[in-house]
Amino acid sequence: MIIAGIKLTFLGMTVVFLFLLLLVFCVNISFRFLSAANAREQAEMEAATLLKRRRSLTTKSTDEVLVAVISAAIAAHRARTLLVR
Amino acid sequence: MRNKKVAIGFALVFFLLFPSALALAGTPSAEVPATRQELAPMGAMVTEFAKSTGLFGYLSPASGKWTEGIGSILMAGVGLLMLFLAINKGFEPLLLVPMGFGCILANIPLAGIANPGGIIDYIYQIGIKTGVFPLLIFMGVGAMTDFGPMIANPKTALLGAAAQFGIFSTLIGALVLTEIVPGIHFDLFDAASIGIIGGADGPTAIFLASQLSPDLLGAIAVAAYSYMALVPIIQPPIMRALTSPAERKIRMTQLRYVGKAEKIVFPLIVLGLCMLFLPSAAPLIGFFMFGNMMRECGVVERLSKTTQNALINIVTIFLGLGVGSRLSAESFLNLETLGILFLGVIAFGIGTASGILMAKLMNRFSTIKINPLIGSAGVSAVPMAARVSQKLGMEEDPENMLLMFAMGPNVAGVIGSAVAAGVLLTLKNLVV
Repeated sequence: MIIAGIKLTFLGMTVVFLFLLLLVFCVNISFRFLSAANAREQAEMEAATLLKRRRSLTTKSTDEVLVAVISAAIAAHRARTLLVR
Repeated sequence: MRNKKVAIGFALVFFLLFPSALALAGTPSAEVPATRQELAPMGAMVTEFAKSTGLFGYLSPASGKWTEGIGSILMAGVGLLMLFLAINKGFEPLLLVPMGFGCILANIPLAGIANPGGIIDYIYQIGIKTGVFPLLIFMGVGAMTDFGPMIANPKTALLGAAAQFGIFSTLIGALVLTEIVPGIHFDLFDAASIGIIGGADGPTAIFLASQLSPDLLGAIAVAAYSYMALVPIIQPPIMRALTSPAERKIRMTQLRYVGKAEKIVFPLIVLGLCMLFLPSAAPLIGFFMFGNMMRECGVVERLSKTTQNALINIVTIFLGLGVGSRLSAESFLNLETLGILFLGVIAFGIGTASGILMAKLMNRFSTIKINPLIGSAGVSAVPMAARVSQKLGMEEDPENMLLMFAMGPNVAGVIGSAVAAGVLLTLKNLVV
């Protein structure tokens, strides 16, 4: 019966390897066919994220400018009141 | 006060009306058998009732076999142990809680819950013997699996193939045990069902065992799920022993972007290969890929969500109970179960080792190196095995993130073990 087991192992491992090798082969082929669509999809996604980032960047910068202006005004006001005293 | 009066009124009406209504309902009809009207003498009644208690069932089983007496108590202990492991140690609680409880239910003397006609026997007959529950679970697993990492680096799928060597070496191991240990008798079907434990894939193991050797189903399911929970303990020593620190530090190149179209085509490719070369694996691979198609196609999100959550949860409850119903003392408390538990560890160990060795072999012939630690993830057990690879990689180099790379062989391992199960299912035709 052990011989039967060894035969089964040989068959089984061969089938598993061949199946997954074929799968690797087919996945590579599908990549070749679909790489153009992939590139387009990726470019669109990157454009979208870039747009989002730019938007957040601009809003952030206006905030920063506002903060800077206000803090400068406060500083100037304090300096003046100090001088007056 | 008023409420009290109303209540008393109602009680009076009830006690006056009810007996008179009964009396008016007439004399007992002639069809009622005379035997249902008299009770045995009080002494006999007490003895009969005592005989119908569980205590009596444990101490003096009707069949006189120890497996139905003290064996049931021991099996209830096994059920409690499973509950303890699930609740206290976090071992696969989703399955071990229903399974442990099912085991306790199945071993209540005289109740016969797991005997033909009992509730959990029905669950077993409907869902597990037919193979329906494991396949539905497999569909849910497909809906939860992202094949992206494997599609991005398809070569790593070969690691998932190599790790299946654990299945077949255990099959040989089971046959060797039969030859050398008196009291253990596994035939080829049993050996195949035991070997599949090495696939580290619960539903596949239950499906194959239910088809090839239903008698061993309980022990095989317990071994498969217990060892899957023990992956973080079984694998690391083997991984450390087979790799050098330099190998563990290997950094892998970043995975490429995988498009939506590629992910939709993938389940069709796998299914096509199955159709052409291995129809015996069609139930497993078909359901697995159907689940994955629902996930990736993007137009049936409701179905995909249901499959991933509600459906798989419902089926898991019944799968656990159904497996629990097979945990009787007669089929569990014997030398063969010990053999299965022993072989299960060996299966996981060999699967882990062969995945790592395959990765090292591939590095010999390729300029793009792969970290051999991801080879061990080939033994399915998604995503536990991949997490173990990540952890060991980080031990050596805290900035080396292996998780996504390990998911490649990990999900390939699921396909690999389904293919191996397909080959083993053809045993029915191969045996002369």
